[in-house]
Amino acid sequence: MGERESQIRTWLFNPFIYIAGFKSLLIGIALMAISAWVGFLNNSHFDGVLDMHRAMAAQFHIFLLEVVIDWVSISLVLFVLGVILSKSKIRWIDVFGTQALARWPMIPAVILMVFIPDVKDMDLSDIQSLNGLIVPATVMLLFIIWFVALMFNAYKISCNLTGSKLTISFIGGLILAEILSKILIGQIVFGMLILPQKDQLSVLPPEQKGNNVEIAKGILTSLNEEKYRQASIAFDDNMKNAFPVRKMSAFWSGTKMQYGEFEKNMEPTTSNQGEHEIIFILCHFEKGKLNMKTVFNDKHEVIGLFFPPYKPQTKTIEVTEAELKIYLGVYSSPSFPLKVTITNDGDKLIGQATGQPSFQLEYFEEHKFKYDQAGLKLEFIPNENKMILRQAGQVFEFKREP
Amino acid sequence: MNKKLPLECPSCSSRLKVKSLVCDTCDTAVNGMYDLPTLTGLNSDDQLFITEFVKASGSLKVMAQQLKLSYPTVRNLLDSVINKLKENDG
Repeated sequence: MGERESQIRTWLFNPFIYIAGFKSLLIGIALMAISAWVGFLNNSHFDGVLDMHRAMAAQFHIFLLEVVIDWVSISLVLFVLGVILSKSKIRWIDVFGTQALARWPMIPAVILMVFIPDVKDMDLSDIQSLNGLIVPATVMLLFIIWFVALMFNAYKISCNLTGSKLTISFIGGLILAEILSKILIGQIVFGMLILPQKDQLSVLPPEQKGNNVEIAKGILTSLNEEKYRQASIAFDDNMKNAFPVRKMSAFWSGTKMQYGEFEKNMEPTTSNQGEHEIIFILCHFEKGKLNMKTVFNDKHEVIGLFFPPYKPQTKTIEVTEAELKIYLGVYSSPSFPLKVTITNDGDKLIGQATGQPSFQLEYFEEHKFKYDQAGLKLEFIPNENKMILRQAGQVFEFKREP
Repeated sequence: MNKKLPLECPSCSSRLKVKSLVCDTCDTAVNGMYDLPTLTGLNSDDQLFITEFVKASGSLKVMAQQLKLSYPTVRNLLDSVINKLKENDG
């Protein structure tokens, strides 16, 4: 029993007695790829040899690159130290291979990240909420100790060092590798996420230039494809500073978490406020609707981007006079005896059939209005000059008179 | 009973030498003053390791396979034996 326990301990903390070189390199790389994949799934970044943080969503290769940078940093530093300090003929493949295998506690650790709440969202005066943090954080600490013990033993075996030479050089090497990995990740990975690349700075295709509706649609498409740099091309400088790629990525991930996957969008509507043009695009997500609002200046630059939840019950208040203008006119239908006149009273849409009292229409969906007292629903198709009237199961198609 | 060859003097801890050798077939005894072979300065595990290492034609890879240990572990064992031999020589 004692021997079995000791064997389990050896496999957990010092498997390098049995595995090193190419074999451990292959196993280690496979396990690192798995940890990167789990990180990709729960947005946990490996932003340093010993670091793991929940942050923005990114593509899988970003997480893989971070893991590789961490591994190469610690392996390279310890290999150089080994060459300088060890009297044995050490092999690079043993150092890199054992350090790769030593990173496998990152898999349970990155899974555990799901259970660690974001401190920003916590009420720190609430004891229960703190308990929810302490337990997973303690387990995480144990994982880190285990991980460091593995790296230490990997270094000890692959470089054949003992005593204070081993301990001091390992601590120094770990600190050095942590700094190196932070610099490399900062330069390479962060640059890939934040800095616009030259080809993507070549603004919009000529046919989209100056067309605010197309730009707004393009932003939505880019967000949906998670091409955040592309989405921010038309932003003015203030917007680029206020809403950088990492914020946009976090915002879009958060939106999808709350509202589900994006499904479709309705045709954009526009309104003008002074020199600003505002484009509204109603976006349907799995669990709700958001009304994307993009504000442009006179240079066709985006100066505001908002995604307020779509609230049909309060929409009558939100519909502006300018938005109602596209519906106004006299509508007639060969199958309906009366003409219907649509006018507006400020931001209220008013309908009136010939010789009948007027009635106020209530907005309930994109281009759709209703008058509940009469069970009447009107749907406008402004670009075709059409209006569809639905009442008591009957449908009448009206045409706007010129 | 597996008797252990004494290497150090129990009185002053100096390295022991061989004074007498006996033929257990005809009882002939040879007296003189001989040094112990270098390898006897190693413990039995290290002596076994050296024997296996020579049998494996000095290949650490073959040794690692036979002992089911990793290459650097076997190399470290060898380095440790070399150090002991150097210390004994010194």
